[in-house]
Amino acid sequence: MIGVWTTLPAYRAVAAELPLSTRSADSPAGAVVVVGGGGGSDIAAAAAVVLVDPVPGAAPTVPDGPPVIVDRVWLRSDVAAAAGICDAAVFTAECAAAAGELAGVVRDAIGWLRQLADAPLTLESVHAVGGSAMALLRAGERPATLTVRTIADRAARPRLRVLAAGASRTEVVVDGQDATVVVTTQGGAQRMPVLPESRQRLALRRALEAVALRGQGDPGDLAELRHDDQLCALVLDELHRRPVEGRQKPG
Amino acid sequence: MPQGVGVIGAGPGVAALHLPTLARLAERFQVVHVSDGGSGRAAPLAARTGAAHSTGVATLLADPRVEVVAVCSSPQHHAAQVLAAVAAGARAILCEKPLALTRDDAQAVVEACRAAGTALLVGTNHLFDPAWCRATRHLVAEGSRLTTVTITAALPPNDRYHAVVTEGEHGTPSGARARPDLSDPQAAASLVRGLLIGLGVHDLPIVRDLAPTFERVVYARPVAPVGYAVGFIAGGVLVQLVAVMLPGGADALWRLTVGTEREQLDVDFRPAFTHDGSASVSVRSADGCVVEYPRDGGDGYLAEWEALAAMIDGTAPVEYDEILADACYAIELADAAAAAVRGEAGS
Repeated sequence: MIGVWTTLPAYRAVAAELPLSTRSADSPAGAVVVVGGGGGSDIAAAAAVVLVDPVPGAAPTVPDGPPVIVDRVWLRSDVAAAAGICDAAVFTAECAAAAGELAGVVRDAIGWLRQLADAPLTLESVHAVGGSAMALLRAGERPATLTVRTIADRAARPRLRVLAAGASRTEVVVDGQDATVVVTTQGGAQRMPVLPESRQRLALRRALEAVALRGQGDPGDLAELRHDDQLCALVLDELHRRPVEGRQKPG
Repeated sequence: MPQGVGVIGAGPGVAALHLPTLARLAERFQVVHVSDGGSGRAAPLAARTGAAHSTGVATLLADPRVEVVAVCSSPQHHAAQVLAAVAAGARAILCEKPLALTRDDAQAVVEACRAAGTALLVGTNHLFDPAWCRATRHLVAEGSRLTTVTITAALPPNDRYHAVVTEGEHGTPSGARARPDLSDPQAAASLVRGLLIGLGVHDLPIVRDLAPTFERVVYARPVAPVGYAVGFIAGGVLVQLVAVMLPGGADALWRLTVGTEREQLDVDFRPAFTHDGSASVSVRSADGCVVEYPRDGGDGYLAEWEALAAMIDGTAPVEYDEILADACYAIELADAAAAAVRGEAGS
Protein backbone atom coordinates (compact mmCIF):
# COMPACT_ATOMS: atom_id res chain seq x y z
CA MET A 1 0.00 0.00 0.00
CA ILE A 2 1.33 3.42 -0.93
CA GLY A 3 0.34 6.90 0.11
CA VAL A 4 -1.30 9.31 -2.28
CA TRP A 5 -0.66 12.99 -1.72
CA THR A 6 -3.16 15.22 -3.47
CA THR A 7 -5.41 18.19 -3.00
CA LEU A 8 -7.45 17.40 -6.10
CA PRO A 9 -10.93 16.10 -5.24
CA ALA A 10 -11.11 13.88 -8.30
CA TYR A 11 -7.92 12.11 -7.26
CA ARG A 12 -9.04 11.75 -3.68
CA ALA A 13 -12.10 10.03 -5.06
CA VAL A 14 -10.24 7.62 -7.29
CA ALA A 15 -7.74 6.82 -4.54
CA ALA A 16 -10.75 5.47 -2.71
CA GLU A 17 -11.41 3.27 -5.76
CA LEU A 18 -7.99 1.63 -5.18
CA PRO A 19 -8.53 0.78 -1.51
CA LEU A 20 -6.14 -2.15 -1.39
CA SER A 21 -3.29 -0.28 -3.07
CA THR A 22 -3.43 3.25 -1.72
CA ARG A 23 -3.96 5.28 1.42
CA SER A 24 -3.99 8.98 2.08
CA ALA A 25 -0.45 10.27 2.67
CA ASP A 26 0.64 12.73 5.36
CA SER A 27 3.42 14.17 3.26
CA PRO A 28 4.65 13.97 -0.34
CA ALA A 29 7.82 12.14 0.61
CA GLY A 30 7.62 8.56 -0.55
CA ALA A 31 4.08 9.03 -1.85
CA VAL A 32 2.45 9.23 -5.23
CA VAL A 33 2.13 12.97 -5.57
CA VAL A 34 -0.64 14.28 -7.71
CA VAL A 35 -0.15 17.79 -8.98
CA GLY A 36 -2.14 19.90 -11.37
CA GLY A 37 -0.82 22.24 -13.98
CA GLY A 38 2.89 22.91 -14.12
CA GLY A 39 4.21 20.80 -11.27
CA GLY A 40 5.24 21.68 -7.74
CA SER A 41 8.16 22.02 -5.37
CA ASP A 42 7.47 18.99 -3.22
CA ILE A 43 7.80 16.29 -5.80
CA ALA A 44 11.53 15.56 -5.68
CA ALA A 45 11.09 13.07 -2.81
CA ALA A 46 7.95 11.52 -4.26
CA ALA A 47 7.81 7.86 -5.18
CA ALA A 48 6.00 8.86 -8.37
CA VAL A 49 4.28 11.91 -9.74
CA VAL A 50 0.99 12.22 -11.55
CA LEU A 51 0.95 15.39 -13.57
CA VAL A 52 -2.67 16.27 -14.21
CA ASP A 53 -3.76 18.05 -17.34
CA PRO A 54 -0.54 20.04 -17.58
CA VAL A 55 -0.85 23.41 -19.21
CA PRO A 56 1.02 23.47 -22.49
CA GLY A 57 4.60 24.49 -21.92
CA ALA A 58 4.66 23.52 -18.25
CA ALA A 59 6.27 20.13 -18.62
CA PRO A 60 9.88 21.32 -18.78
CA THR A 61 9.56 22.71 -15.23
CA VAL A 62 9.08 19.22 -13.79
CA PRO A 63 12.43 18.20 -12.24
CA ASP A 64 13.99 14.88 -13.08
CA GLY A 65 13.72 12.25 -10.41
CA PRO A 66 10.64 10.20 -9.70
CA PRO A 67 8.75 8.59 -12.54
CA VAL A 68 6.11 10.89 -13.96
CA ILE A 69 2.74 9.82 -15.23
CA VAL A 70 0.95 12.42 -17.29
CA ASP A 71 -2.83 12.50 -17.14
CA ARG A 72 -3.80 14.00 -20.50
CA VAL A 73 -7.42 14.86 -21.06
CA TRP A 74 -7.54 14.11 -24.77
CA LEU A 75 -4.81 11.49 -24.98
CA ARG A 76 -5.47 8.66 -22.58
CA SER A 77 -2.92 5.91 -22.46
CA ASP A 78 -5.53 3.16 -22.51
CA VAL A 79 -7.17 4.57 -25.63
CA ALA A 80 -3.75 4.89 -27.21
CA ALA A 81 -3.06 1.26 -26.36
CA ALA A 82 -6.36 0.28 -27.95
CA ALA A 83 -5.42 2.13 -31.12
CA GLY A 84 -1.95 0.63 -31.21
CA ILE A 85 0.77 1.50 -33.67
CA CYS A 86 -0.23 1.95 -37.29
CA ASP A 87 1.73 1.01 -40.37
CA ALA A 88 0.07 3.80 -42.31
CA ALA A 89 1.04 5.79 -45.38
CA VAL A 90 -0.23 9.07 -44.00
CA PHE A 91 -1.66 10.45 -40.79
CA THR A 92 -4.15 13.26 -40.30
CA ALA A 93 -5.45 15.05 -37.24
CA GLU A 94 -8.27 17.55 -37.01
CA CYS A 95 -9.01 19.35 -33.79
CA ALA A 96 -11.41 22.03 -32.69
CA ALA A 97 -12.04 23.79 -29.39
CA ALA A 98 -12.88 27.12 -27.89
CA ALA A 99 -9.90 29.44 -27.64
CA GLY A 100 -9.38 28.74 -23.94
CA GLU A 101 -8.95 24.99 -24.44
CA LEU A 102 -7.35 24.97 -27.82
CA ALA A 103 -3.72 24.69 -26.73
CA GLY A 104 -4.25 21.46 -24.83
CA VAL A 105 -6.28 19.97 -27.65
CA VAL A 106 -3.63 20.85 -30.22
CA ARG A 107 -0.92 19.36 -28.07
CA ASP A 108 -2.83 16.14 -27.62
CA ALA A 109 -3.68 15.97 -31.33
CA ILE A 110 0.04 16.14 -32.03
CA GLY A 111 0.52 13.46 -29.38
CA TRP A 112 -1.95 11.25 -31.16
CA LEU A 113 -0.08 11.61 -34.45
CA ARG A 114 3.16 10.68 -32.68
CA GLN A 115 1.49 7.81 -30.90
CA LEU A 116 -0.09 6.23 -33.98
CA ALA A 117 3.05 6.70 -36.05
CA ASP A 118 5.24 5.48 -33.18
CA ALA A 119 7.84 8.01 -34.19
CA PRO A 120 8.88 11.52 -33.21
CA LEU A 121 7.51 14.25 -35.43
CA THR A 122 9.12 17.17 -37.14
CA LEU A 123 7.27 20.25 -38.26
CA GLU A 124 7.69 21.12 -41.91
CA SER A 125 5.13 23.84 -42.40
CA VAL A 126 2.48 25.69 -40.44
CA HIS A 127 0.12 28.46 -41.44
CA ALA A 128 -2.73 30.16 -39.65
CA VAL A 129 -5.61 32.35 -40.76
CA GLY A 130 -8.26 33.83 -38.53
CA GLY A 131 -8.11 31.44 -35.60
CA SER A 132 -7.49 28.33 -37.67
CA ALA A 133 -4.25 26.67 -38.59
CA MET A 134 -2.92 23.86 -40.72
CA ALA A 135 0.40 22.16 -40.45
CA LEU A 136 2.42 19.53 -42.22
CA LEU A 137 4.54 17.31 -40.03
CA ARG A 138 6.63 14.26 -40.71
CA ALA A 139 6.99 10.98 -38.89
CA GLY A 140 10.13 9.70 -40.52
CA GLU A 141 9.29 9.71 -44.21
CA ARG A 142 5.56 9.65 -43.65
CA PRO A 143 3.54 12.86 -43.74
CA ALA A 144 1.16 13.87 -41.01
CA THR A 145 -1.23 16.78 -41.35
CA LEU A 146 -2.89 18.82 -38.66
CA THR A 147 -5.94 21.06 -38.89
CA VAL A 148 -6.77 23.36 -35.98
CA ARG A 149 -10.04 25.23 -35.68
CA THR A 150 -11.12 27.72 -33.03
CA ILE A 151 -14.79 27.39 -32.17
CA ALA A 152 -16.49 30.72 -31.51
CA ASP A 153 -18.30 29.46 -28.44
CA ARG A 154 -16.67 29.51 -25.01
CA ALA A 155 -18.75 26.51 -23.94
CA ALA A 156 -17.82 24.42 -26.98
CA ARG A 157 -17.05 20.77 -26.42
CA PRO A 158 -13.53 20.06 -27.72
CA ARG A 159 -13.11 17.40 -30.33
CA LEU A 160 -10.25 15.79 -32.14
CA ARG A 161 -10.19 13.15 -34.84
CA VAL A 162 -7.06 11.35 -35.88
CA LEU A 163 -6.67 9.02 -38.81
CA ALA A 164 -3.91 6.63 -39.79
CA ALA A 165 -4.53 5.62 -43.38
CA GLY A 166 -2.96 2.50 -44.74
CA ALA A 167 -4.09 -0.94 -45.79
CA SER A 168 -5.51 -1.02 -42.29
CA ARG A 169 -7.13 2.24 -41.22
CA THR A 170 -7.34 3.45 -37.65
CA GLU A 171 -9.53 6.36 -36.66
CA VAL A 172 -9.62 7.83 -33.19
CA VAL A 173 -12.28 10.32 -32.18
CA VAL A 174 -12.08 12.10 -28.86
CA ASP A 175 -15.23 14.08 -28.25
CA GLY A 176 -15.29 15.71 -24.87
CA GLN A 177 -14.60 12.89 -22.44
CA ASP A 178 -15.64 10.18 -24.89
CA ALA A 179 -13.11 8.37 -27.01
CA THR A 180 -13.64 5.78 -29.71
CA VAL A 181 -11.15 3.80 -31.73
CA VAL A 182 -12.25 2.11 -34.94
CA VAL A 183 -9.90 -0.09 -36.92
CA THR A 184 -11.00 -0.87 -40.48
CA THR A 185 -9.56 -3.58 -42.66
CA GLN A 186 -10.84 -5.25 -45.81
CA GLY A 187 -12.73 -7.57 -43.49
CA GLY A 188 -14.71 -4.74 -41.94
CA ALA A 189 -14.63 -2.23 -39.12
CA GLN A 190 -13.99 -3.06 -35.48
CA ARG A 191 -14.63 -0.69 -32.63
CA MET A 192 -11.90 -1.40 -30.14
CA PRO A 193 -12.85 -1.96 -26.51
CA VAL A 194 -11.84 0.67 -23.96
CA LEU A 195 -12.50 0.13 -20.28
CA PRO A 196 -15.01 2.55 -18.73
CA GLU A 197 -12.45 3.69 -16.19
CA SER A 198 -11.98 7.31 -15.23
CA ARG A 199 -8.79 8.83 -16.53
CA GLN A 200 -7.80 9.77 -12.99
CA ARG A 201 -8.00 6.17 -11.78
CA LEU A 202 -6.11 5.05 -14.86
CA ALA A 203 -3.34 7.56 -14.17
CA LEU A 204 -3.14 6.58 -10.52
CA ARG A 205 -2.95 2.89 -11.42
CA ARG A 206 -0.14 3.62 -13.85
CA ALA A 207 1.68 5.56 -11.15
CA LEU A 208 1.41 2.58 -8.82
CA GLU A 209 2.79 0.35 -11.58
CA ALA A 210 5.65 2.79 -12.15
CA VAL A 211 6.53 2.66 -8.46
CA ALA A 212 6.46 -1.12 -8.55
CA LEU A 213 8.67 -1.18 -11.62
CA ARG A 214 10.98 1.64 -10.59
CA GLY A 215 14.41 1.17 -12.07
CA GLN A 216 13.02 -1.00 -14.84
CA GLY A 217 12.32 1.71 -17.32
CA ASP A 218 10.79 5.14 -17.55
CA PRO A 219 7.10 5.39 -18.47
CA GLY A 220 8.12 7.90 -21.10
CA ASP A 221 5.18 10.23 -20.50
CA LEU A 222 7.27 13.27 -19.72
CA ALA A 223 9.51 12.97 -22.76
CA GLU A 224 6.44 12.54 -24.92
CA LEU A 225 4.78 15.53 -23.33
CA ARG A 226 7.85 17.67 -23.97
CA HIS A 227 7.96 16.52 -27.58
CA ASP A 228 4.31 17.36 -28.10
CA ASP A 229 4.60 20.64 -26.20
CA GLN A 230 7.46 21.80 -28.35
CA LEU A 231 5.59 21.26 -31.61
CA CYS A 232 2.38 22.63 -30.14
CA ALA A 233 4.17 25.84 -29.24
CA LEU A 234 5.22 26.32 -32.85
CA VAL A 235 1.65 25.86 -34.08
CA LEU A 236 0.24 28.15 -31.41
CA ASP A 237 2.85 30.82 -32.12
CA GLU A 238 1.65 30.91 -35.70
CA LEU A 239 -1.97 30.87 -34.60
CA HIS A 240 -1.50 33.76 -32.19
CA ARG A 241 0.49 35.70 -34.73
CA ARG A 242 -2.60 35.78 -36.93
CA PRO A 243 -5.54 36.29 -34.59
CA VAL A 244 -9.04 36.20 -35.94
CA GLU A 245 -10.85 39.46 -36.41
CA GLY A 246 -13.73 39.58 -33.97
CA ARG A 247 -13.14 36.00 -32.93
CA GLN A 248 -14.84 36.12 -29.58
CA LYS A 249 -18.52 36.07 -30.23
CA PRO A 250 -20.72 35.71 -27.18
CA GLY A 251 -20.47 32.15 -25.94
CA MET B 1 -37.27 8.64 -77.49
CA PRO B 2 -33.86 8.29 -75.85
CA GLN B 3 -31.03 10.39 -77.18
CA GLY B 4 -28.11 8.64 -78.81
CA VAL B 5 -24.84 8.74 -76.92
CA GLY B 6 -21.48 8.25 -78.50
CA VAL B 7 -18.87 7.23 -75.97
CA ILE B 8 -15.25 8.09 -76.75
CA GLY B 9 -13.06 5.77 -74.71
CA ALA B 10 -13.40 2.15 -73.71
CA GLY B 11 -11.54 1.88 -70.42
CA PRO B 12 -12.80 1.04 -66.95
CA GLY B 13 -14.50 4.44 -66.66
CA VAL B 14 -16.76 3.42 -69.53
CA ALA B 15 -17.16 -0.28 -68.79
CA ALA B 16 -17.79 0.09 -65.07
CA LEU B 17 -19.15 3.61 -64.85
CA HIS B 18 -20.85 5.24 -67.81
CA LEU B 19 -22.37 2.18 -69.46
CA PRO B 20 -23.95 0.93 -66.20
CA THR B 21 -25.04 4.48 -65.34
CA LEU B 22 -26.63 5.08 -68.71
CA ALA B 23 -28.40 1.73 -68.45
CA ARG B 24 -30.19 3.19 -65.44
CA LEU B 25 -31.33 6.12 -67.58
CA ALA B 26 -32.50 4.07 -70.54
CA GLU B 27 -35.61 6.16 -71.07
CA ARG B 28 -33.46 9.19 -71.61
CA PHE B 29 -30.18 7.99 -73.15
CA GLN B 30 -29.08 5.10 -75.34
CA VAL B 31 -25.48 4.25 -76.11
CA VAL B 32 -25.28 4.02 -79.91
CA HIS B 33 -21.55 4.13 -80.56
CA VAL B 34 -18.37 3.35 -78.64
CA SER B 35 -14.88 4.13 -79.85
CA ASP B 36 -11.46 3.28 -78.54
CA GLY B 37 -7.99 4.56 -79.28
CA GLY B 38 -6.85 1.33 -80.87
CA SER B 39 -7.07 -1.04 -77.94
CA GLY B 40 -9.91 -3.05 -79.45
CA ARG B 41 -11.92 -2.74 -76.24
CA ALA B 42 -14.76 -0.80 -77.87
CA ALA B 43 -16.15 -3.82 -79.72
CA PRO B 44 -17.11 -5.94 -76.71
CA LEU B 45 -18.48 -2.91 -74.86
CA ALA B 46 -20.56 -1.84 -77.85
CA ALA B 47 -21.88 -5.36 -78.21
CA ARG B 48 -23.54 -5.05 -74.79
CA THR B 49 -25.97 -2.44 -76.08
CA GLY B 50 -26.03 -3.24 -79.75
CA ALA B 51 -24.05 -0.08 -80.44
CA ALA B 52 -21.62 0.52 -83.26
CA HIS B 53 -17.93 0.61 -82.52
CA SER B 54 -14.92 2.19 -84.13
CA THR B 55 -11.37 3.33 -83.56
CA GLY B 56 -10.52 7.01 -83.19
CA VAL B 57 -13.18 9.72 -83.02
CA ALA B 58 -14.01 10.55 -86.64
CA THR B 59 -16.35 7.66 -87.32
CA LEU B 60 -18.18 8.12 -84.04
CA LEU B 61 -18.63 11.86 -84.58
CA ALA B 62 -19.89 11.22 -88.12
CA ASP B 63 -22.50 8.75 -86.86
CA PRO B 64 -25.86 10.51 -87.33
CA ARG B 65 -27.36 8.72 -84.35
CA VAL B 66 -24.85 10.36 -81.99
CA GLU B 67 -26.46 13.43 -80.45
CA VAL B 68 -24.63 13.41 -77.15
CA VAL B 69 -20.91 12.73 -76.80
CA ALA B 70 -19.28 11.34 -73.68
CA VAL B 71 -15.55 12.05 -73.66
CA CYS B 72 -14.07 9.31 -71.49
CA SER B 73 -10.61 8.93 -72.97
CA SER B 74 -7.27 9.68 -71.30
CA PRO B 75 -7.10 13.22 -69.87
CA GLN B 76 -4.59 14.50 -72.42
CA HIS B 77 -7.14 13.95 -75.20
CA HIS B 78 -10.14 15.58 -73.56
CA ALA B 79 -9.82 19.12 -74.84
CA ALA B 80 -9.17 18.16 -78.46
CA GLN B 81 -11.99 15.63 -78.47
CA VAL B 82 -14.48 18.10 -77.01
CA LEU B 83 -13.51 20.59 -79.71
CA ALA B 84 -13.94 17.89 -82.35
CA ALA B 85 -17.35 16.99 -80.97
CA VAL B 86 -18.43 20.63 -81.05
CA ALA B 87 -17.20 20.96 -84.63
CA ALA B 88 -19.17 17.85 -85.55
CA GLY B 89 -22.35 19.40 -84.21
CA ALA B 90 -22.82 17.49 -80.97
CA ARG B 91 -25.82 18.74 -79.07
CA ALA B 92 -24.35 18.03 -75.65
CA ILE B 93 -21.08 16.78 -74.22
CA LEU B 94 -20.28 15.10 -70.95
CA CYS B 95 -16.53 15.33 -70.52
CA GLU B 96 -14.94 13.16 -67.88
CA LYS B 97 -12.69 15.10 -65.55
CA PRO B 98 -10.48 16.93 -66.21
CA LEU B 99 -11.86 19.18 -68.91
CA ALA B 100 -8.34 20.18 -69.94
CA LEU B 101 -4.78 20.13 -68.70
CA THR B 102 -3.98 23.78 -69.39
CA ARG B 103 -5.79 27.03 -68.86
CA ASP B 104 -5.61 27.89 -72.58
CA ASP B 105 -7.17 24.58 -73.56
CA ALA B 106 -9.91 24.96 -70.98
CA GLN B 107 -10.73 28.42 -72.27
CA ALA B 108 -10.78 27.25 -75.88
CA VAL B 109 -13.08 24.35 -75.07
CA VAL B 110 -15.55 26.41 -73.08
CA GLU B 111 -15.65 29.22 -75.62
CA ALA B 112 -16.21 26.77 -78.46
CA CYS B 113 -19.12 25.18 -76.61
CA ARG B 114 -20.58 28.57 -75.73
CA ALA B 115 -20.32 29.81 -79.32
CA ALA B 116 -21.95 26.68 -80.68
CA GLY B 117 -24.60 26.48 -77.97
CA THR B 118 -23.39 23.01 -77.04
CA ALA B 119 -24.38 21.86 -73.59
CA LEU B 120 -21.30 20.95 -71.57
CA LEU B 121 -20.85 19.18 -68.26
CA VAL B 122 -17.70 17.90 -66.57
CA GLY B 123 -17.96 14.60 -64.69
CA THR B 124 -16.87 15.76 -61.26
CA ASN B 125 -19.49 13.54 -59.70
CA HIS B 126 -19.10 14.65 -56.10
CA LEU B 127 -20.37 18.09 -57.08
CA PHE B 128 -23.60 16.49 -58.28
CA ASP B 129 -24.06 14.13 -55.34
CA PRO B 130 -27.45 14.86 -53.72
CA ALA B 131 -25.71 14.82 -50.36
CA TRP B 132 -23.56 17.77 -51.32
CA CYS B 133 -26.66 19.72 -52.33
CA ARG B 134 -28.05 19.00 -48.88
CA ALA B 135 -24.79 20.00 -47.22
CA THR B 136 -24.75 23.24 -49.17
CA ARG B 137 -28.24 24.12 -48.01
CA HIS B 138 -27.22 23.42 -44.43
CA LEU B 139 -24.13 25.61 -44.65
CA VAL B 140 -26.05 28.46 -46.21
CA ALA B 141 -28.80 28.23 -43.61
CA GLU B 142 -26.34 28.02 -40.75
CA GLY B 143 -24.49 31.05 -42.07
CA SER B 144 -21.39 30.74 -39.93
CA ARG B 145 -18.01 31.85 -41.22
CA LEU B 146 -16.11 29.11 -43.01
CA THR B 147 -12.64 28.44 -41.67
CA THR B 148 -11.28 25.09 -42.88
CA VAL B 149 -11.87 22.51 -45.56
CA THR B 150 -10.18 19.12 -45.48
CA ILE B 151 -10.58 16.31 -47.95
CA THR B 152 -9.17 12.92 -47.07
CA ALA B 153 -9.15 9.97 -49.43
CA ALA B 154 -7.68 6.53 -48.77
CA LEU B 155 -8.49 4.34 -51.73
CA PRO B 156 -7.98 0.67 -52.50
CA PRO B 157 -7.72 -0.34 -56.18
CA ASN B 158 -10.80 0.42 -58.24
CA ASP B 159 -11.28 -3.15 -59.43
CA ARG B 160 -12.96 -3.95 -56.11
CA TYR B 161 -15.77 -1.59 -57.06
CA HIS B 162 -15.82 -2.47 -60.74
CA ALA B 163 -16.84 -5.91 -59.59
CA VAL B 164 -20.05 -4.62 -58.00
CA VAL B 165 -21.30 -2.77 -61.08
CA THR B 166 -20.15 -4.90 -64.00
CA GLU B 167 -18.45 -8.11 -65.04
CA GLY B 168 -15.21 -8.89 -66.79
CA GLU B 169 -11.64 -7.67 -66.65
CA HIS B 170 -11.90 -3.94 -66.75
CA GLY B 171 -9.75 -2.67 -63.95
CA THR B 172 -6.17 -2.45 -62.96
CA PRO B 173 -5.24 -5.58 -61.00
CA SER B 174 -4.60 -4.99 -57.32
CA GLY B 175 -1.06 -3.99 -56.55
CA ALA B 176 -0.27 -3.15 -60.15
CA ARG B 177 -0.32 0.62 -59.77
CA ALA B 178 2.87 2.23 -60.98
CA ARG B 179 5.06 3.52 -58.17
CA PRO B 180 7.04 6.56 -59.25
CA ASP B 181 10.39 7.45 -57.75
CA LEU B 182 9.29 10.03 -55.22
CA SER B 183 12.89 10.97 -54.43
CA ASP B 184 13.08 12.61 -57.85
CA PRO B 185 11.52 16.08 -57.45
CA GLN B 186 10.40 16.21 -61.06
CA ALA B 187 8.72 12.82 -60.86
CA ALA B 188 7.17 13.71 -57.52
CA ALA B 189 5.91 17.05 -58.87
CA SER B 190 4.47 15.36 -61.92
CA LEU B 191 2.72 12.80 -59.73
CA VAL B 192 1.18 15.43 -57.47
CA ARG B 193 0.04 17.56 -60.41
CA GLY B 194 -1.45 14.59 -62.22
CA LEU B 195 -3.25 13.34 -59.13
CA LEU B 196 -4.70 16.73 -58.29
CA ILE B 197 -6.02 17.20 -61.81
CA GLY B 198 -7.18 13.61 -62.18
CA LEU B 199 -8.29 12.64 -58.66
CA GLY B 200 -8.48 15.70 -56.45
CA VAL B 201 -10.51 17.39 -59.18
CA HIS B 202 -13.52 15.36 -58.06
CA ASP B 203 -13.87 17.76 -55.15
CA LEU B 204 -12.24 20.95 -56.40
CA PRO B 205 -15.46 22.46 -57.78
CA ILE B 206 -16.87 22.00 -54.29
CA VAL B 207 -13.79 23.58 -52.77
CA ARG B 208 -14.12 26.50 -55.20
CA ASP B 209 -17.73 26.95 -54.16
CA LEU B 210 -16.57 27.19 -50.55
CA ALA B 211 -13.34 29.09 -51.09
CA PRO B 212 -13.52 30.76 -54.50
CA THR B 213 -10.30 32.71 -54.67
CA PHE B 214 -7.17 30.59 -54.86
CA GLU B 215 -4.34 32.39 -53.10
CA ARG B 216 -1.33 30.12 -52.68
CA VAL B 217 -0.06 26.69 -51.81
CA VAL B 218 1.40 26.45 -48.31
CA TYR B 219 2.82 22.97 -48.69
CA ALA B 220 2.68 20.08 -51.12
CA ARG B 221 4.26 16.66 -50.77
CA PRO B 222 3.87 13.31 -52.47
CA VAL B 223 2.65 10.46 -50.31
CA ALA B 224 3.99 6.94 -50.88
CA PRO B 225 3.06 4.70 -52.55
CA VAL B 226 0.89 7.04 -54.65
CA GLY B 227 -0.73 10.10 -53.18
CA TYR B 228 -0.38 13.68 -52.08
CA ALA B 229 -0.68 15.99 -49.13
CA VAL B 230 -1.39 19.57 -50.12
CA GLY B 231 -2.30 22.59 -48.05
CA PHE B 232 -3.40 25.85 -49.60
CA ILE B 233 -5.24 29.05 -48.85
CA ALA B 234 -8.24 30.22 -50.82
CA GLY B 235 -10.43 33.14 -49.91
CA GLY B 236 -9.02 33.15 -46.40
CA VAL B 237 -9.97 29.50 -45.90
CA LEU B 238 -7.39 26.87 -45.04
CA VAL B 239 -7.72 23.86 -47.32
CA GLN B 240 -5.96 20.54 -46.83
CA LEU B 241 -6.10 17.72 -49.35
CA VAL B 242 -4.74 14.29 -48.47
CA ALA B 243 -5.11 11.28 -50.74
CA VAL B 244 -3.39 7.94 -50.91
CA MET B 245 -4.01 5.10 -53.34
CA LEU B 246 -3.26 1.85 -51.60
CA PRO B 247 -2.57 -1.61 -52.98
CA GLY B 248 -5.38 -3.17 -50.95
CA GLY B 249 -6.94 -3.25 -47.54
CA ALA B 250 -9.80 -1.29 -46.07
CA ASP B 251 -12.70 -0.07 -48.15
CA ALA B 252 -12.50 3.40 -49.59
CA LEU B 253 -12.61 6.43 -47.35
CA TRP B 254 -13.42 9.67 -49.15
CA ARG B 255 -14.41 12.40 -46.76
CA LEU B 256 -14.96 16.10 -47.15
CA THR B 257 -14.95 18.07 -43.91
CA VAL B 258 -16.03 21.67 -43.70
CA GLY B 259 -15.21 23.59 -40.55
CA THR B 260 -17.01 26.77 -39.61
CA GLU B 261 -16.75 28.91 -36.51
CA ARG B 262 -19.43 26.77 -34.89
CA GLU B 263 -19.84 23.50 -36.71
CA GLN B 264 -18.07 20.68 -38.43
CA LEU B 265 -19.79 19.13 -41.41
CA ASP B 266 -18.65 15.79 -42.80
CA VAL B 267 -19.60 14.41 -46.20
CA ASP B 268 -18.58 10.77 -46.59
CA PHE B 269 -18.75 9.81 -50.23
CA ARG B 270 -19.57 6.31 -51.39
CA PRO B 271 -16.89 4.33 -53.24
CA ALA B 272 -16.28 5.33 -56.85
CA PHE B 273 -18.29 3.57 -59.57
CA THR B 274 -20.98 2.32 -57.22
CA HIS B 275 -24.70 3.03 -57.28
CA ASP B 276 -25.78 2.48 -53.72
CA GLY B 277 -27.04 5.91 -52.91
CA SER B 278 -25.71 9.31 -52.02
CA ALA B 279 -22.93 10.29 -49.70
CA SER B 280 -23.77 10.68 -46.02
CA VAL B 281 -23.80 14.05 -44.29
CA SER B 282 -23.34 14.65 -40.60
CA VAL B 283 -23.00 17.89 -38.72
CA ARG B 284 -21.48 18.31 -35.29
CA SER B 285 -22.33 21.52 -33.49
CA ALA B 286 -20.21 23.30 -30.92
CA ASP B 287 -22.00 21.64 -28.01
CA GLY B 288 -21.26 18.18 -29.36
CA CYS B 289 -24.71 17.42 -30.75
CA VAL B 290 -24.55 15.50 -34.02
CA VAL B 291 -27.17 15.61 -36.76
CA GLU B 292 -27.05 12.90 -39.42
CA TYR B 293 -29.04 13.51 -42.56
CA PRO B 294 -30.61 10.46 -44.21
CA ARG B 295 -28.91 9.25 -47.35
CA ASP B 296 -30.58 9.77 -50.68
CA GLY B 297 -31.26 7.03 -53.23
CA GLY B 298 -29.52 8.90 -56.02
CA ASP B 299 -25.83 9.35 -56.60
CA GLY B 300 -23.53 11.80 -58.33
CA TYR B 301 -23.09 9.70 -61.46
CA LEU B 302 -26.80 9.53 -62.15
CA ALA B 303 -27.23 13.15 -61.16
CA GLU B 304 -24.61 14.42 -63.58
CA TRP B 305 -26.30 12.70 -66.53
CA GLU B 306 -29.68 13.96 -65.33
CA ALA B 307 -28.20 17.45 -65.14
CA LEU B 308 -27.00 17.14 -68.72
CA ALA B 309 -30.47 16.04 -69.76
CA ALA B 310 -31.94 19.14 -68.11
CA MET B 311 -29.50 21.32 -70.05
CA ILE B 312 -30.51 19.64 -73.29
CA ASP B 313 -34.15 20.23 -72.44
CA GLY B 314 -33.46 23.85 -71.66
CA THR B 315 -34.71 23.51 -68.10
CA ALA B 316 -31.28 24.16 -66.63
CA PRO B 317 -28.64 26.62 -67.81
CA VAL B 318 -25.23 25.57 -69.07
CA GLU B 319 -22.83 27.17 -66.64
CA TYR B 320 -19.98 27.90 -69.02
CA ASP B 321 -18.34 30.46 -66.76
CA GLU B 322 -18.48 28.14 -63.77
CA ILE B 323 -17.08 25.24 -65.77
CA LEU B 324 -14.18 27.37 -66.96
CA ALA B 325 -13.54 28.76 -63.50
CA ASP B 326 -13.56 25.25 -62.03
CA ALA B 327 -11.07 24.03 -64.62
CA CYS B 328 -8.77 26.99 -64.11
CA TYR B 329 -8.93 26.65 -60.31
CA ALA B 330 -7.79 23.02 -60.52
CA ILE B 331 -5.04 23.82 -63.01
CA GLU B 332 -3.76 26.76 -60.98
CA LEU B 333 -3.70 24.68 -57.81
CA ALA B 334 -2.03 21.73 -59.51
CA ASP B 335 0.64 23.94 -61.08
CA ALA B 336 1.36 25.67 -57.79
CA ALA B 337 1.50 22.37 -55.91
CA ALA B 338 3.89 20.91 -58.48
CA ALA B 339 6.11 23.96 -58.13
CA ALA B 340 6.07 23.55 -54.35
CA VAL B 341 7.08 19.90 -54.66
CA ARG B 342 9.97 20.94 -56.89
CA GLY B 343 10.95 23.37 -54.16
CA GLU B 344 10.39 26.47 -56.21
CA ALA B 345 9.90 29.68 -54.25
CA GLY B 346 6.71 31.65 -54.54
CA SER B 347 4.59 28.63 -55.15
